[in-house]
Amino acid sequence: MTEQVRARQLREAQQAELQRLFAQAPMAIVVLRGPTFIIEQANENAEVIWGRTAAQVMGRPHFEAIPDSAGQGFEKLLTGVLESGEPVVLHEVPIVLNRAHTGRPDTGYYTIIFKPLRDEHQRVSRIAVMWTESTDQVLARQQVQDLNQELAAINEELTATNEELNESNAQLTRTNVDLDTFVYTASHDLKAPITNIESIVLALRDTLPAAVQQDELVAHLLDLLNQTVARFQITINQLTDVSRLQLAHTGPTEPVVLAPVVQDVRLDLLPAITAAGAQLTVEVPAGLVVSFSPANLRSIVYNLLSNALKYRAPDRPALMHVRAAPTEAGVVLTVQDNGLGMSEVQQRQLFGLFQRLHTHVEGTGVGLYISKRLIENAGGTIAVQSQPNAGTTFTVTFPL
Amino acid sequence: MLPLPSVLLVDDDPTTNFLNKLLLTRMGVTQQVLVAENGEQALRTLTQVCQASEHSTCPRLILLDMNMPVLNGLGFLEAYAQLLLAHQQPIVIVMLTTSLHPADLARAEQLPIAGFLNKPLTQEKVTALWQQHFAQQYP
Repeated sequence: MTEQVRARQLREAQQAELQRLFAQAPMAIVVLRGPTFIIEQANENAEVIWGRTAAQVMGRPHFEAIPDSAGQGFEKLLTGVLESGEPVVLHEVPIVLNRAHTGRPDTGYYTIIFKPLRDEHQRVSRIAVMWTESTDQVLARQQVQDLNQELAAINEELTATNEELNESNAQLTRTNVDLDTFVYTASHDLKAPITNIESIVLALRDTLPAAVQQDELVAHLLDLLNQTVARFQITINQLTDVSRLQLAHTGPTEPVVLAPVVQDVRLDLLPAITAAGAQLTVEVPAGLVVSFSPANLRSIVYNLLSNALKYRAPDRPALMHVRAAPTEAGVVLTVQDNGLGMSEVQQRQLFGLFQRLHTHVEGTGVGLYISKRLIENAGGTIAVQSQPNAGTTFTVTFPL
Repeated sequence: MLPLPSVLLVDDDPTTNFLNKLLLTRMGVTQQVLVAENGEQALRTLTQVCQASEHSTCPRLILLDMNMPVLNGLGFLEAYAQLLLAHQQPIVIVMLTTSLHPADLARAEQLPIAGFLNKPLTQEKVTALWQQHFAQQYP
């Protein structure tokens, strides 16, 4: 083998290597010649992007071989590059190509470099076009942007809704204050006449001759009048209590040892408990402390225990169970009974003002309402679990 | 128990005044019952009957309501504290009210009053009041 042959073989090998590099370059590369932009070279990536084989396009003017690429401004751009000899770079420009058969979207996004190529006479007669497709990234980014806009819109909506809620809340608070003021004023204004009626009854008793007062009907009517006045006054006093909840704060909180409070209430209720033949079990750890207004705490425990006693089932011995334990959420106090119990509908009404679920016992329906307000004003919660004719459990959580 | 020479009732409710006057008269605990329908009327009455040379009708006791038009109970007490006659002739003032707002209560504690009574006025309350304040003067 001569030197010449070996040199030729080497040249051919290098040529082939370059050709392979060109063909398999990770970007699309084409070379366009002359004013009609004849496709002189096109590598594999270009074939993929165009959706056409090299054989289909090679040697033909670009906009004739790939007519769908025409009319998108590239004719003018390429002419400009040829004339000026200046390279042009485009970032992520959209180009529409008919390539549905490739499974790619017709509109693709491309970053393209148009590089003028000079011949041995330094004349620009050809253009190398190199480009990469970033359709997937652009579409993904657009999707993110769309989502972002959607989120911003939702956010705006939420803010608006929030403002509306705040306004409704403020309105409700005002209404509540108005209502409390009304209740206070009403109870106060009702007190004056009922007090007078009470005095009138007393004056009548002093005025009416004894013989008249001893008449059976008169005596009964006077008794009824007394009872009615007493009943009226209880209601008014309780109305006043309700209004004082709001007007006169809930009392300062302080650490209160729970066990003595329960014991105190138990002693108060002992005559009633004994009379009812009820059994009260207390399981409150000594030294367990809750942070609450002492007077309010006592009235809550009293209310729950006296309710448990009041609403006992007539056909079985009443069992009442008071437990308390510290938890992560605060001190939890439960008052459980085996009494009349309540349906779900009744449980929903339970904490309302003037709700009386039973008529066989005395009550005005403000006790639980007041207890709930006291507990919630102090940041605690009260919940009820009940089964008709099986029993009721109240669970109070005192805040830490 | 000797009757007081005079008692002043201050209340804007005519029915209350009528009933209280009836009660005090019937019990015979006072010779005279004066009535004023608000604090300002009460001040005028006091100025008239207590400045006169003859002091027999000047009340020894005032039963004072809290809520009244023109001048309420607290306003009356403040004005009364400024009156010169307060120093010359001590008058027992008892607030007779339906309900006591804690704020009012706190304010009234600063004022020259002998005590509080809840309405309605009854024989028992009157008897206790007389025993507490007038047992020595009018035994």
